[in-house]
Amino acid sequence: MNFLSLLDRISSVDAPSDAAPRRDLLRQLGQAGARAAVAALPLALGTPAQAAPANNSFDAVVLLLKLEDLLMDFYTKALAAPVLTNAAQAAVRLDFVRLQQQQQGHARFLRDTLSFAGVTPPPAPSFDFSGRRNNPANPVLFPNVLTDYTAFLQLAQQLEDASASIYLGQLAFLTTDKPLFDAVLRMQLVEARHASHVRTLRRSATPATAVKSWPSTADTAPTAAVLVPSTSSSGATPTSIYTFEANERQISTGTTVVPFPTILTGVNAVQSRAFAEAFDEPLPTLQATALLSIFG
Amino acid sequence: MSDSFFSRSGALHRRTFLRVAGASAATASLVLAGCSDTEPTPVVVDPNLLQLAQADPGLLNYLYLLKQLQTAFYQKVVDAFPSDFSAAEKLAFNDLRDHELVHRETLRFMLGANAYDTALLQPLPFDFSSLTLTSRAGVLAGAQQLEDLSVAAYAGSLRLLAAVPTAALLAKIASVEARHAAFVRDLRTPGSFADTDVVVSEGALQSVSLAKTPTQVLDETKAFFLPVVVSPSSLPTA
Repeated sequence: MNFLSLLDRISSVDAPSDAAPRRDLLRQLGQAGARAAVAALPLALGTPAQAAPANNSFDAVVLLLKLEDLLMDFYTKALAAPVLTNAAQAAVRLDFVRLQQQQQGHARFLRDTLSFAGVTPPPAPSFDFSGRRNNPANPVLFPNVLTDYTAFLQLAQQLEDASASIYLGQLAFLTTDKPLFDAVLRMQLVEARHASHVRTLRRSATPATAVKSWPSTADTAPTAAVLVPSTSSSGATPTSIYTFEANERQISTGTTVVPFPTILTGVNAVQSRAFAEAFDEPLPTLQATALLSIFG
Repeated sequence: MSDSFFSRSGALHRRTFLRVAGASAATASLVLAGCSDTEPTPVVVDPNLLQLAQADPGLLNYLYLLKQLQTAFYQKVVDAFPSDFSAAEKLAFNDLRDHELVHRETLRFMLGANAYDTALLQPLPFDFSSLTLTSRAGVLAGAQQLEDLSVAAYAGSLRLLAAVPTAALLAKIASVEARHAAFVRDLRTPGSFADTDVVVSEGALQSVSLAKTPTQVLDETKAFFLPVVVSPSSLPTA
């Protein structure tokens, strides 16, 4: 059962009058939570991982919290593992301390947001970055990520790029809550800085990998790719997160597509891959949820 | 070096400018007077004042102006790279120029007839004399200033937009701006991609991007627009 639906039903018993100022969803949840029997909360909290996210602000915050817990755990483990305790990585170790600290700040904000709304935040899952889902019998999808710097950076790049995209996707469900939208947008911008930096590190590492600091069709594709469900109706084959980034179609409003081939000609001509590079793309909730469940 | 576009181009341009830029009700009568062929140009309105409109069109024009500024900056750089720029840096700055141009034209398309400069005979010139564009260090310093400012501008203005689809598309642009900013910062000082001068380092909003209001951003960029003064006084603030 979806936690939100439960609380929504409790909340609807005592809905605010229409004349009252609009209350954001989380605040409603908070009021509902305060009224609900305390015993109902642990019952509900046991299940949200199984329920499909319903694209509302509560589910968005829970999804982003799992993402931040994942990133924080990834860097915490790497900082304690050979991949970053090795003297060869001494020069970049502080960069990952910064990444870890900023992910921690984001996770704290998201936990506080849930707490202020009267909801007990879910604990961080036990993450497994090998891709074996904590089961040694499963195949290793991401070999040596905590021992080999090249493998580590390759996964870090995909996780940070995915993070920027997951944030962009969830922003759409926060538009009626301006303060929350504002904070989440500003966390997204920090995620994009992280992603850019990890890509820069890959270019300067030994051996170097040819990637730009922004997703580009010119990038070297990952050898151990993070795969998510395809959006095509016939597509049973999982697809790389970068298939979303290759989008060259931007909607200005309604169904109006920005006509790049028409407006970017003559003195305004650009390299054709710039159409896709100039925009980061959201990762839909279904793909975001599937991605996070690869690791925990 | 920037010529004064409005003083140079005379009354016709000044009237055109006022017609497209003067969006507030308070200046409507002056705008009408300025459009008349027989009346002298009113002297009470500063010809170099660019008054941004109210609501979403004003905010979009604000972001459009910043995109024009960034594109002009990178165009100037790629037209004459400093001699100490590496081959890889030249390729990257060509990408940056292209991205900014795509953003600028996307904003122009979104604005349509609301773009402040639809009726201007030539684009607004920008004054880059405060920067040193003949050395790698000077170019990187300028690029960092403009990219960090751009990120803070998006962080401080998207929540002010009424139209949700507009904010969604602009967030996709803002994300790439943050990548640009981190890239340029790392070129200048490796590891400075998310330093405490651009990421909040304390309080409830610790670890989120620095945000600046349109007023703060326009104050920090005013030297680039001179002699034009861009006024955000009609823009929404909450």
